[in-house]
Amino acid sequence: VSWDRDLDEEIRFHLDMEAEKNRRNGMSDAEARRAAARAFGGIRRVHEQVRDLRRTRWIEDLLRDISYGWRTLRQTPAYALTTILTMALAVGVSSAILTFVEGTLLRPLPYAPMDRIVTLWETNLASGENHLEVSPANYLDWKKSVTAFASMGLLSPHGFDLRRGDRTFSINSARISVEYLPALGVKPLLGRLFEASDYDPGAEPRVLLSHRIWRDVFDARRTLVNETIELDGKPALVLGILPPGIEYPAKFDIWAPLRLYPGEASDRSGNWMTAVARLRDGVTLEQAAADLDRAAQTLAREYPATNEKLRTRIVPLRETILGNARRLLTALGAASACLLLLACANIGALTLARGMARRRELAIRAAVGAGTARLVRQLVTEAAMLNAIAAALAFAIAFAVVRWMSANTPAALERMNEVHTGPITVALLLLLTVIATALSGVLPALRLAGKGLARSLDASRRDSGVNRSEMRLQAALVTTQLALALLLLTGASLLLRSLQKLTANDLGFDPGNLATIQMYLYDVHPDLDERAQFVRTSLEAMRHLPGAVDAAATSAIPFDPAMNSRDNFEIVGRPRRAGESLMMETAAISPGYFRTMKIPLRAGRDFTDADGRRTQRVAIINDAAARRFWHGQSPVGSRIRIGIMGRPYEWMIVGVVRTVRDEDYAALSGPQVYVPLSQSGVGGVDFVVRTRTAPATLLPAMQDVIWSATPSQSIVAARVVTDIIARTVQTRRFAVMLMTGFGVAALLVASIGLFGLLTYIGTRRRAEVGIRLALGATPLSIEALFVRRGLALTAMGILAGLLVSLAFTRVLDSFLYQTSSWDPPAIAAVVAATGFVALLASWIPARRIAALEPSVVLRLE
Amino acid sequence: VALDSTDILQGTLDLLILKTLSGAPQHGWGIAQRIQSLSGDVLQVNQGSLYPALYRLERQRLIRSGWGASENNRRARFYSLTRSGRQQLESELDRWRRFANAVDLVLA
Repeated sequence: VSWDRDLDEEIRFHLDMEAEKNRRNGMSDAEARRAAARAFGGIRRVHEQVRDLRRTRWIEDLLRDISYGWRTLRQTPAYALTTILTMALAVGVSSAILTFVEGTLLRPLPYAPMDRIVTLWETNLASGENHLEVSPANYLDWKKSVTAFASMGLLSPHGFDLRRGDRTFSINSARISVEYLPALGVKPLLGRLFEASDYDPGAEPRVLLSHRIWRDVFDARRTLVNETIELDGKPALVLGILPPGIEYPAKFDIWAPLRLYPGEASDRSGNWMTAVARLRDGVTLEQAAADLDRAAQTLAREYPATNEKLRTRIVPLRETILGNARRLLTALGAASACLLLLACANIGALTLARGMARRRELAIRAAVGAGTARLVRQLVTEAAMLNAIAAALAFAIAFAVVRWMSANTPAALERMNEVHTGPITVALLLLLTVIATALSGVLPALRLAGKGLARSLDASRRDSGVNRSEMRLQAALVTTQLALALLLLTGASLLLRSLQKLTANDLGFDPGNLATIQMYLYDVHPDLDERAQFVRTSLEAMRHLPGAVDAAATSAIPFDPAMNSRDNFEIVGRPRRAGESLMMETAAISPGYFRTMKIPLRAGRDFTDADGRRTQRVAIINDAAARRFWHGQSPVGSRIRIGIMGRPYEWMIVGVVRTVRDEDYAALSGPQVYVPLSQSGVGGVDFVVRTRTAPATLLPAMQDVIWSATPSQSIVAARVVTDIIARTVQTRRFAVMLMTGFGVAALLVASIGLFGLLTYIGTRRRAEVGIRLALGATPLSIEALFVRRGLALTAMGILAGLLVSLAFTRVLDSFLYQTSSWDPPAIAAVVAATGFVALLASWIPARRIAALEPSVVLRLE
Repeated sequence: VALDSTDILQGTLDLLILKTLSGAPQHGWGIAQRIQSLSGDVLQVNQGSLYPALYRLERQRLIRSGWGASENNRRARFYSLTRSGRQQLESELDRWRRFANAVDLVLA
């Protein structure tokens, strides 16, 4: 547009000058102007011509560059494909990782002021645990004596049953002290937060709702505030709605006032409550930590029995929430940055190698008048074309990586499983593509088209041969990459072998085809006889479901830590020896549990429906307990005294079962005792069904069995047992996949580096190869020459990688299971894989060089 | 007889412009006047093709332009040769001379 104005002014000037001249030649003013305009011709036409020139010039250039580039690239599909795949991989992975960085670390948390809020933890000097949640009594004492905090809040997890229509839902909930939310700086979205009066013993139940449950269950109805909802069968007043994202320490949907029960208020050894605090103005983190620790030491003196070894730790809230994710993402970010830079370096080198072969063509184009800028543009256009295709592929890769990672990140990595690809991913991807294009396309293009291009037509012979220092640099780069790839792959392979060995362990029961639903029976079935009857009829109904083989109930479904409990016991008629700790894990089960789980009975009998409230209390122990406490004598018939969710009673041992692994794959369970559900007061149970078909398909029918009998019974979880078990190795599996992914990517990039380097050497030594071939060298011997070169580099890389692995895999020691960090099969597999890929990367360029026709080569040179 | 620049051999207008600018910077009107006067009024530059030609040459980086004051103190767009423009002029002149010689030889 400004150009149009410029041109107008220029033409006006021209016409004025012409008219001026005409006037001097004696024309009248009007006549002079008319003559000038006539002489000029159509002004509009000039405008159009100039505009055409201006617009089409660069478009035409671009189109010509693209079609020319397309033709050149089609002549070298291997180069094009290599570039596209490498760049797609590096850019895709990098933008996926950056998407996570943005989605987890950079998104603001809904607490304020973030840098003044801390989380409080107890530490145990004896056990070395340093991340214990706090016990209520200790917290109350801290609150009295610590002055460093402006406010402190306490939270205890809770479960509420929410009634909606004729159905009841089990809701993850929390009881909180009055300062908990204000300490976090939370303001209500609607209504108000708790006040002191809400904690009066006489006050009717009042609750706050999470944004999520308000939106999903209550349709975001604004009038819900000050209405009542039905919780645990009683009305509760909704005081307010919290803003979205209030999820510390977990995703709780109902928040109620925390009134400590008398037992809780004096508990100093149960660590299950979450404590937060806000630093008083001017108090530093160190001062607060010292202040809190003083309080802990005072308590250690006052209550040595429970508190002697207990100390405290303060962690900023941001660190507590995002620390794990930050450490992982920092490592992944560094790895992906490495990957991207190495990919750029290798593709840049490959471009340069290919460019060397094209120097003659470029020189000819320069000689017939193409400017340097024009040639650079041609080369950059080619690079940009490849990177554009790569970007499209990279998006697919980024999408897949983000999806996989958010689905598989262990729960401890807060926020990471909520990350999705979005506009930010696309923006990052484009940015990285531009950077990659600049590094892998523009730099080599400048070098190629730059100095000495004009000379290379006549000086091409002198130009051949290899630039020593540059070669050494590239060789070092390739060796480093191979070493790095080997290190990552070794780590991945060690972790994978550990995982395999771990999951190959016999659990002692058959976890396949088991579906389970979990619920708490006390509210709906308070009467023990009625509850036992309910369990019996429900199990009978579940056994008759289509696809069901067997059914049983248990209070301790394997691999669910929430369902674990352990108790002290004594053996009747045998005095306790000094220092002997008699403890067993306890579980209450229905008859047929061992049959359903396929846990073999070693001695005695299983429970039957005849074992009830009015008959002899009976128990079954596992053989770990039999060995530990009965020392090889038969425990059947002896009696123990143990309280299982209630007062201690005497139980007679009637059977022994095999010890299973029910906490994790690594270890057999300790001593365990099972008692009949019907003889215990236990209310939290899992109904387990052994299925003939895919277990998940039976879950709806199992829930219907419960709800058709008692619609008000809420179901806490409906799961497949193998999924519960898989969760325990989720972190391991995640680590294996990540490390394998990066290892494979690194190996791929490294072999592209090797490929590029050999191609480069090949083109620079073409004349020599031509002469050798002309003098009678066989193509095979030429091939061998280059493959040897590649393998020498590979051997160096592998050797360096092994040395580095030796030093670094020790870091993995604590994550390895029955696998030494110098595991020969694992390392042999990795070396073989690396060697094979490197051989391939050497052989392809070697074969191409050896396939040259000597006459063609010599004529070319 | 006067030749319009449409009659001038294609590509020759560029050569004329480059030659005209080899001395000092000049505006469009001045270029047209100079070609006309140097050729003894034989070559009449068609103004309608002068400006597109100037623009084309500028895009080829053979000339550059800028605003300056004209002899009668008006704002005018001045054109001058770039280094590659000067080189181009040399080789074009060389080519032209060989071409003219060749034509002369044939016609003689």
